[in-house]
Amino acid sequence: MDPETHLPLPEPVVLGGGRDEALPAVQPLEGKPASLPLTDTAALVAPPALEVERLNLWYGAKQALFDIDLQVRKNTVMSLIGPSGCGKSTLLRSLNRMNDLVDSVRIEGSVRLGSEDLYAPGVDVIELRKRMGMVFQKSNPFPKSIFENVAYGLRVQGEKDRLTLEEAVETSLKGAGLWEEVKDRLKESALGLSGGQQQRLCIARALAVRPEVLLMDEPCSALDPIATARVEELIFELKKEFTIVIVTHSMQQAARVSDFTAFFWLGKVVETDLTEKIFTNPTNRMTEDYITGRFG
Amino acid sequence: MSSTATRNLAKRVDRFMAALITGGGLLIILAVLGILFFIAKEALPLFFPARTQTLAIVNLEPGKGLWADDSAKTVMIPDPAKGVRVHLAQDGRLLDTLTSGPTLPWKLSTSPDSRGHLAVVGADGRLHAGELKWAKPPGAQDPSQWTPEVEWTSGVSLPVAPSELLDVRSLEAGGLMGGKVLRVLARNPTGLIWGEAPAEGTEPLQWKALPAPADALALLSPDGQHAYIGTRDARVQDWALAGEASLSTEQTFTEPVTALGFALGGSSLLVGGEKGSIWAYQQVRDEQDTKALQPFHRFLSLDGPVRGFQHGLRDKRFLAWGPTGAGILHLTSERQLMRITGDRIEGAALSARGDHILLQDGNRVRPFILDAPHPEISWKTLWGRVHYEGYKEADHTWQSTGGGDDFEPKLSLLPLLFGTLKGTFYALLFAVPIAILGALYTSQFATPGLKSRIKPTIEIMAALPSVVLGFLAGLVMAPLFEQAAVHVLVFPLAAVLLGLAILPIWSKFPASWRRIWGEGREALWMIPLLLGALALTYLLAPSIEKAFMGGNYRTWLQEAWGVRYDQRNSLVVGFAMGFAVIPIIFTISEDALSSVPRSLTSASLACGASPWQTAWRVVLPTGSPGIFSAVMVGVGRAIGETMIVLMATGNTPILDWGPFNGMRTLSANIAVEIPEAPHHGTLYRILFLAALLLFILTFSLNTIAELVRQHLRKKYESY
Repeated sequence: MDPETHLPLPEPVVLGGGRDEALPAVQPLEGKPASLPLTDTAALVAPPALEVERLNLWYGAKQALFDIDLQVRKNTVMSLIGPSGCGKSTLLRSLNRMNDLVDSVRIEGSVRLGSEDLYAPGVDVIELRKRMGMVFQKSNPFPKSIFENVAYGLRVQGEKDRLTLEEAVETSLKGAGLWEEVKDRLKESALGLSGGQQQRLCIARALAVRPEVLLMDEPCSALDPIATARVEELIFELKKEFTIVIVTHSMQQAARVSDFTAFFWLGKVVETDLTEKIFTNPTNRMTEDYITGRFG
Repeated sequence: MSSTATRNLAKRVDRFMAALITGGGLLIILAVLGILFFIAKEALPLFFPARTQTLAIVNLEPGKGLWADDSAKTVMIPDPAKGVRVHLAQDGRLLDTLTSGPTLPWKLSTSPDSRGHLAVVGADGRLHAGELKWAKPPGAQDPSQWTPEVEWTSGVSLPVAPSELLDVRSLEAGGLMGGKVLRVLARNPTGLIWGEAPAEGTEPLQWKALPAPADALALLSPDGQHAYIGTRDARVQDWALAGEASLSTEQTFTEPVTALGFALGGSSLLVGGEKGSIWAYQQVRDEQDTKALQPFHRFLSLDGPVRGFQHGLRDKRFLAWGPTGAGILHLTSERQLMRITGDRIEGAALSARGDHILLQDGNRVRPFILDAPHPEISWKTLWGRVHYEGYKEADHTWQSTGGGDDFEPKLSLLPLLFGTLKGTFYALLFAVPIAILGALYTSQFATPGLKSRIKPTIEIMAALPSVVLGFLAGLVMAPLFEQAAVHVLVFPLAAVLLGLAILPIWSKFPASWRRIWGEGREALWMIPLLLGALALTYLLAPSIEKAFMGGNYRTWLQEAWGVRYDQRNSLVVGFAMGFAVIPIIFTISEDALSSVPRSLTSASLACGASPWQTAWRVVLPTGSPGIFSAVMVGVGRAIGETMIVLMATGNTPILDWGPFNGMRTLSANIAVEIPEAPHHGTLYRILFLAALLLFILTFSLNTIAELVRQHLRKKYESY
């Protein structure tokens, strides 16, 4: 496994204490924070962490993805955009084989994580999912305490040592920028947190198993602008340690947080390039029409 | 139609439907409350205190005791000077005087007992036993239409006249001759004497000595074979009267004995003392198998000395009286039903139904009415240990009816409540793991195709009438089970062992093959596994029985554990009732587990948890409120279940948790006994009390379940 994935997580992004409601009014980000460069030039030439090659997917007889080719470079953010039903979430769920749970799904092609083909026969799916954290559209904390939510991934791996768990929970919560807000009530139910806090808790939960890749399926669609801003800042921070694939409906969000963008339409990748290129000078006419809001 | 009209119509329909639904709901609540009210109305009179009434005093010339008829409309008074006087109880008017039988005036006479038996020595010195009775034409209510009678024996000559007649019993004589014999207990100046002679013969009665103090009280046992003696120096003795009288046992009493009597049936000896103490004694066999007297009930004392006892002919109540007052007491419950204070009371009578009491002092008779329909019921007889006649010690016993009129009903509800809980326990022991694990498998692991078949199949199980299940359990399963009890117990073990043996081999198969044939279809693979386990059981069980149980499990159970194997036992009931409960628990649990949000399972799987970890750590806790209510609904069903327990338990009301014996539940007991319970009788009301208990039990269980469920739901609330 790549030693880089075991680097310490970034220091927490503290944006004031307490709950979201107690925060001063922060305007949604208009552009990228000046302190955080959009794209590390090193990242552009980094080896691909995730490679999708000629991926086809059928739901029963209906084909949902057509010959998808995609490369996600290490420590970059790739956003998948496109109109509803274009297959971007399906692709995301194919990356950690969550689609296996859907009955009658059939997949051809390959997805490589590092050097391993995820769809090769005999792959241990459970082992694989530990290397790919996932954050869902709607926050879905377990009906357990905050601590147990974050520790869940380690617990199912058999970790029992209290100190290790506590350390991992603290690191992950700091990584998700939630530590200061919840450190005094780790024993309380996670369901008592606000929506934004719950989503960051889910991110912390995904971070706790120290994945190589973080898959985010419209992580901000159910959040208010303030909470959205904080998650976006978080993505910036997390990029230092993780490779991130994010599905989003918001063009602004894609522009703000990602290094690369892939535009999907009807199950096909229409165009994929540097985000700046896609948003300022797309090659494809369809991309331009979508970005400028002519359809979608 | 205009849009306003449409809107108004919609509003009206809305209001109408709202009212209809509210009304329906209220009606249901009302119906349940109505049922509760009806049940309570039938059961609660058990606990009402006895009602008493004092009637107008009647002037009556005293005689030798007094005897009231069934309805206490008349009183008969044996008068040594005039014969038997018959009076109207209401005003004391003399109806008749019966002078037949012994020649007047009588030298000696006993007081009539509760059945109207008395004995008289006539002027000619002959002893006659008599029975007071009424010839009542059917339907005649008025005493003027009745004919009083005394049935006298023809008389036995007494060579020596005693100074007092104590007790005379007319007994069936054994042997070829048949007929009756009189056994007589009497006193002469030197001590007690007894003798026996044919009632209708010429043979004179020969006295034998009974070496007891001359001032002692004495009573013959109902079979005439014993004399019970109470002495002034506070001893109660039992003498065997065969050949020569011999003392068989003796007990000390708290004070000088001043009265002896029997409760109905004659197996409980009532002893009253000078200070008013009242005890009941009975004969029990002790460790050496010899009969011994045992004090087994103590009653509320009278204020002064006790002079006599009279018992009713319907139940175990009796009247104890003395010069200063009287009390009506009940043998089983030890309850005092009535207390009367008086002055210089000289005689007392209790009517056959036990509802009329006559107390005589001087020339007055004071009549009382006692309305106590359920004297045998008290909190203690229902729930506590009660010492019944014929039992060595106090115990919880249910035996509502017996052979004779003098049967003592044993109405402890505890064994029934225990049986209900025991049956429920064994049913749930079998049903809960199977139903919940089955629901977990079906909701989380089975392929959708398999799930769509499993669920309806199990739900169809619920449609099986419980009488069919009970029939199968009691008449088919129980005998089979008896033949192959070891097989039945070895089978699950064999299945688990076989499963553990096969799993490592299974994991050697190629993963792709396993995915296609295994995941979600494990249930199908269980079938060959279970068949294999069955074969294994057939191979192993006989040798296990031979090796560990000496070849016969029943003898082994009896010898090694002291456990008797009943054919209809708790395990059979557990299986049968479990079968009835599984569909309910399964269905509700499955619904609860299936409704755990997909997002939670996805989150768990995305964290790298296996499907099993997801099911165990996320799905099961999140679905726990639903599972809890499923189990509670199952408990409610098992508690109320009647036909299965009725047919498969043997209905033995015992207090024993053992799996190899049966039980009698509250519900089965109601079903068994309601045809035998006379309307508004004690048993009838007790059965309603059992119903009330069942109602309260299920109601409180459901309430607790709902509270816990709400609490759990709040805890695991999700989206």
